[in-house]
Amino acid sequence: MKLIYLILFLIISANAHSFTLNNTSTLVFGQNEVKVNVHQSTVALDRCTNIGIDESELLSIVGDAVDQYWNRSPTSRLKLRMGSVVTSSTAFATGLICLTGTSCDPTPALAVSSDVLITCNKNAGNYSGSGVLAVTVPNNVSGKTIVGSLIMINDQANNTFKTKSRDEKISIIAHELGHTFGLGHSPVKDSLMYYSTVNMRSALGSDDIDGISYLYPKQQPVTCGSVDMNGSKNNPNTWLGLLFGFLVIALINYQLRYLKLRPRF
Amino acid sequence: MKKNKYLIVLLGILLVLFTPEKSRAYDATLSVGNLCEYVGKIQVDENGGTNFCEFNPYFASSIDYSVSPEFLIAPEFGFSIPKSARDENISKMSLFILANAKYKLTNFHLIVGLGLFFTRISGSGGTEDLNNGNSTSSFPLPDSSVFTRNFILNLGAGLDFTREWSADLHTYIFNLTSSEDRAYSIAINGTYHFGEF
Ligand SMILES: [Zn+2]
Repeated sequence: MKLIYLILFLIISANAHSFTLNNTSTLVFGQNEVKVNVHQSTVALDRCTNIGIDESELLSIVGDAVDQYWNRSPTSRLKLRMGSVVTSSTAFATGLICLTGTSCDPTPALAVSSDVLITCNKNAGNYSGSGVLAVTVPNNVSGKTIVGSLIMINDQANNTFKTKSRDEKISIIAHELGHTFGLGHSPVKDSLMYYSTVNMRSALGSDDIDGISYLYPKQQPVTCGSVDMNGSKNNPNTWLGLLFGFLVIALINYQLRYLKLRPRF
Repeated sequence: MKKNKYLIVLLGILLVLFTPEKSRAYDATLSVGNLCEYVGKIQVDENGGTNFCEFNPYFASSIDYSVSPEFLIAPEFGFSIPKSARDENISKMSLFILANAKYKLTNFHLIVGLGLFFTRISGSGGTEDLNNGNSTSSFPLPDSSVFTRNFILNLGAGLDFTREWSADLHTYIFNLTSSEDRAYSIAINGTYHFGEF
């Protein structure tokens, strides 16, 4: 029994080790639905001014990014939802995402209170070069749980984000969203999490689906909203139903024996 | 309950498989084929092309019980051969259990079933050096195994060539009720029918 228990434990344990990460922690969001909000500074000059689109257009790109990429993964439970444009202090637009450079020590003042926040930011200290499109850090972490993550879009005058097509902007945002919920880079070009843009991006790659599924494995029929009736974490009735199904099959088997029915094989 | 549910499935399978014999009315089958996963859903090159079918051999076995000469109930178990994923540091395999019903016509049969599809994703740990902005970083790799579990609907059909041989095409539908993450995998196989042991 002990051995069975051990084997089952290995099977059902969903230890939140990352696929590949952009830091040495192994972090995941605790909830299954994460909102993606766009920050708008109270100071007009600190809003998105150089990336060619405003905050509401950025939000609409977020909507397409989550619909076209991450939410399509068939084997993961995490769903990203388009949030809203939120107005708050100018620090997100002007501050440094990390206190230290090489291994990020997130700036406490910019900790995102929940879910994901995307902000335009013009502070050159955040970007190692003008070619850097964006930087992302899960910057509010409790234990191994991500509480909030921050994406900074390079909004300096010389940014290259503005030169990208709308479809490219969608895939760039989708890539950064991958970092917000725990993924690092992928070595294969057909992955959204490849470290560089490619000719054309249309869907998640196999590596992306593996990554999000590793971090957030779907556990149907118990946790999927469309199948789970009561939304509870564990629904024993489903399993009793399965047992009932097997009993029916076994019963038919006995019946066949009793009636001496023969198949046509 | 977490442990019990796997025991229930295991007990159920054993119950069916080891029902006392004498005049059993069943047909044991073994299938070998290819499982094309999430057709059209995955980008496979840097030009936006999506997948149709990648080499992914699988084995399956079913016991087909006759309810009537045309109608059979066929519990099925199958698995794909473990292989490295797109990132060669990651290993993947699939397992599935299905409760199928088959309806036999002259030279072919129709299949409908419900089941669970498991995907095992695992890594050996360590790090992988990858580009990160203008420099390189060591990204941690997964160091444990995870099973995803999907409820699937199976729709399919098959041709019966002889009493012993048939060929089947199964469509496994993932997330049937959710348009955003609905997906289809197609299994094509050749099946040998042992009949009764
Ligand atoms: Zn990246």
